[in-house]
Amino acid sequence: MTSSRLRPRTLLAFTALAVFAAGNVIQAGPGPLNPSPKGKSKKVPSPAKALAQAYKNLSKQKSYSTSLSVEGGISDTPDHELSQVAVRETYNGDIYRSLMSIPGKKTFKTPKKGVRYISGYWRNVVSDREGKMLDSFFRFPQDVLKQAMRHAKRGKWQDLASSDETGADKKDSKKSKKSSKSKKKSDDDDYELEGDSKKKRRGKTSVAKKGKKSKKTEEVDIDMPTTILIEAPTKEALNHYLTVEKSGCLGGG
Amino acid sequence: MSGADKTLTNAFYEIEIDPETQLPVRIKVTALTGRKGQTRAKGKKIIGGQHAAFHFEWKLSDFGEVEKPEMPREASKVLAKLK
Repeated sequence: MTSSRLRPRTLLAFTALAVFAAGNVIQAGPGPLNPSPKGKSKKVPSPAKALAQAYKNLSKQKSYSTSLSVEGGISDTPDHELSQVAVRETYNGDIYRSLMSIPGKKTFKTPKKGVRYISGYWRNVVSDREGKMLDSFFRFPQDVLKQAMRHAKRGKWQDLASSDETGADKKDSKKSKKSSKSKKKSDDDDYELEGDSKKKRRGKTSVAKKGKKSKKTEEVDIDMPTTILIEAPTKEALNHYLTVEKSGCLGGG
Repeated sequence: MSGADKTLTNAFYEIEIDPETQLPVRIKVTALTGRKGQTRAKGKKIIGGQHAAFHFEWKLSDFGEVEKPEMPREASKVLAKLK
């Protein structure tokens, strides 16, 4: 009898706690239970600022790994998929400060020059056709980003309608910084937002809270657009073509 | 790939940024060049027909985890001599 009486009570207690927790989440701002479109648009930084920040962050990195896949040829479709492949190459390299090592190709490169082990000797990377291609294709990602940044104002978030993000530029950058800080902290503990919730409700509702918090982190990831699209001007597009042509990959080498 | 129309060229960047670290994790560059009399374009934008397309895709990872590469002495000598 006692157990049957307690069950509805405990159930009631849990539901009350869940409702209370949900209320706190709503008060805290846009979250899984309050996905207001205003909140979403305010969070999103302008593509130019996000790109500048990404470039800055990459510049701070002492080292990283990178790979490049190149596919080139003839296309006859609007999505530019290749119908005839002329070039297909993959390069893997490690970047340490301004030095890139490409072990698979026995090559070392700086942003401006490089050496390659050819026929038993270390030579200028552009001494043979393969090295020439490698040198012109496998640029430092930082340089590519820098080039893209020149046209960052033309950038758009792939995941969003372009009209939404332009209005809230100034507020966005601040908020994105805040959110990035909170995300960094989240690596150590759970999530920065937890701190706020702990102040409000230091209780024993750990199970219900954790479930909601994990949903919240997912929501932030989904909300934030991740891909920037930039259309380069014709002049730069021509330079890309000339780079490809000079690499010798189009034949005649 | 002869018959390239150098007056009809397009290029696009696609940059993916990791929302947590705010670091670029993927950079894609698409470079297009028209072919004389064979490419369909709307203004200066290539929308179909036969054209040359190059797709470059960089992927970035292991930030701060790569060790300093050991460069052979001979290689560094040659590199230093290059302009």
